[in-house]
Amino acid sequence: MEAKINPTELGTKLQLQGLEIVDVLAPNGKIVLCAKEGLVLVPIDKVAIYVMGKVKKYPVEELKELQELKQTDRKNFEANAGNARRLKEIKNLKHSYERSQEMFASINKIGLGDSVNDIIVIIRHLFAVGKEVDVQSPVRHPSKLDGLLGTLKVLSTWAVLPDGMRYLSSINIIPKMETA
Amino acid sequence: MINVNELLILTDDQIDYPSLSENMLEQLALSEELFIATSALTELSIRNSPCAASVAREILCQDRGDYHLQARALEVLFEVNPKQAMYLILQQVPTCGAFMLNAIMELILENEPDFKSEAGLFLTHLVIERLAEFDEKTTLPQPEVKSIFLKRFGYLRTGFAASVHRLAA
Repeated sequence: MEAKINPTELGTKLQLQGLEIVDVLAPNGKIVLCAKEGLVLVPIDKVAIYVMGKVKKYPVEELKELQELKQTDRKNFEANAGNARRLKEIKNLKHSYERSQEMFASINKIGLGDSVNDIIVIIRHLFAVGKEVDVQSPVRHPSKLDGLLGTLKVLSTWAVLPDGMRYLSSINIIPKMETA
Repeated sequence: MINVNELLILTDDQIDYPSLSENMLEQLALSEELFIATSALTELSIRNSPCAASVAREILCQDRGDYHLQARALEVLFEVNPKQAMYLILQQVPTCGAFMLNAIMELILENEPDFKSEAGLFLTHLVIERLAEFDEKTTLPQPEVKSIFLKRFGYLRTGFAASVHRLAA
């Protein structure tokens, strides 16, 4: 993966706040905007989209219609293979949307919101975690994210590149409700 | 050749799942990146891949990911192998949390004809018994789902109880 400066709006705002922002070229040709500190890379969208509750909402009405059709007229539902496929797709979108909303609700509870400053708070937290990653065992790293109103458990996983760079591959916020 | 770990730098919407091999999807579905894992599992299901059931089973039996991924895994397993999914539900219902109970209710409502067997009704009855543990004011299980479920299956609360206990004995 190669890195270069990225001029997008969020990147610019983060840069103005003192973060180093780079573009990373992923193996599928996509450009990934990352915050960089030393050997640590944090893909910004994993924070700015996932954690900030910005995953796009699923089509609620379409889901209801498909479920209703399946419940009341299974024969008709199954006659069109596209129905089952679409139902699967929307359920997937629903889970992703709800997970993202829960993450955001969790950070709200400790006093963080979706401002650029709060995105930076989380990115800096991840920088600190990433620095401690053991190159030999890139596993789940539990950490505690502090906000003005409390503390939250964060689980992050990291991948280490051949050149020693490590990037955040996943972030999970553990909600305070149930975990089952 | 693309390394799975390298794909994990991307967010879910940046991955073209239909272009990936089943082996790659399987690895992604079992990864810690839960947004990507959920989508990869869904793609396996859309393809009707034989891997879909085994990956879904692994997620459920190994308690992988969060309850969103597990709920999706239950849906996928039910699509492919309803009997096996019902067996797993039977194991989960007595102890599962509110979110999974809600997901199980949604699954039963959506697939009502599949739960008309004696085993299915037994399972439905167990869900109703669990519902009594949750306060009226809780947001989970969702009041709307709970209301529809009880309207549809509330009769099992009484009439079925005797035969259920016979079955359980």
